[in-house]
Amino acid sequence: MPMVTENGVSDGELLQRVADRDRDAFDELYRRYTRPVLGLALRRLGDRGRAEDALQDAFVAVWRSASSYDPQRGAGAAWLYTVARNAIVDGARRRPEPPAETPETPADEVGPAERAERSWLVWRVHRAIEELPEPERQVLELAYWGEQSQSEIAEFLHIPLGTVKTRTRAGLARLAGLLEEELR
Amino acid sequence: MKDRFEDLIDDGVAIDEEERARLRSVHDLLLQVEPPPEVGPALRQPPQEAPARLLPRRRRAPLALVAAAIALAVFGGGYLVGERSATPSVERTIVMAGTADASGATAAIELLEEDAAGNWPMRVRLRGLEPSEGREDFYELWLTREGELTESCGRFTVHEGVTEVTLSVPYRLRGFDGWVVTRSGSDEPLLTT
Repeated sequence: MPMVTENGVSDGELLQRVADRDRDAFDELYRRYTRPVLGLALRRLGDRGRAEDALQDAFVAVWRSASSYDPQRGAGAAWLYTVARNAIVDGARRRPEPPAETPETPADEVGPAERAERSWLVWRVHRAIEELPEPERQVLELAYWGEQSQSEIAEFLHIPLGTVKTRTRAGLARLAGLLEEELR
Repeated sequence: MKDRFEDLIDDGVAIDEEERARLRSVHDLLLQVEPPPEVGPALRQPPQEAPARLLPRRRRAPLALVAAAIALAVFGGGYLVGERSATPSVERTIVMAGTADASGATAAIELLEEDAAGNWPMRVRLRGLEPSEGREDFYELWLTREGELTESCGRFTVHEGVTEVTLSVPYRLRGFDGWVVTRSGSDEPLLTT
């Protein structure tokens, strides 16, 4: 299912507009995908500076090749994932670093298929997080990745505990809708 | 004892089992996934040069729209600016985490919309940093470029619990790639994005 935002424009529709050289559509795609692409690059390259270069490479590639996107062949998120991943890999080949760099994956010996599946899952979750209204994104990030209790978040943000709870539940519900396929 | 999930979703409104299972699935998913990286100010704008070179066509607003925009700027600008600065909205929240030297410390920068004079106001909330021992024992928020402390965004002391400070900077944020908090007398980062 294509991820459609609250303003009703899917990633695929934006890509089609980018193919027609619509700069606003490109900016919107960038807003939606900066963190997922940067996260993908960081996991693959293990270095912030190289990952930021790769982020730029990836979006230049999106701009250049948007006309090859065919909505009949899949959702925009999958196409963007493929283009970003290829741009990151190509960039890493052009600018190789010494092998002392931290490898992308921990030494847990997972196979390529599992790595690919996990990478896609993380991509989708990071993309969905970007789609949340800011107040919901804020409390979920603090709760899940800032490791704060809800009372701490309430104190931290100067909002009532009840508001934190309402935003948390609303954010989780919205994510459930956005990640329907991944939750099946 | 209630597990964390039950505590998170308990907002006092009844929930049916189907919805509970749905939310539980998202909760479990979030626990498996590492946080998305914070994006420094320099990366908030898409690459300009390459697409711009590839983009000869620019949107041409009809003349009437341009005239209307000028009229609005002339006659309504003061009102709009006044309204905007009265209630600046949050452009973005940037979450910062403690380094090994301040593990457990967190901060959130609420970057507010740019004011009419070109400043970026921000609300910074911090917790978990060692309380300042006096006015000379301050913390400092920095913008970084390629990992180097580049421009100071202001100094402040902190106390137990949550400290909130309001800062404002005149810099063009696009030139920077991260945020760091240090303590007086040291360049060692205590909080980073």
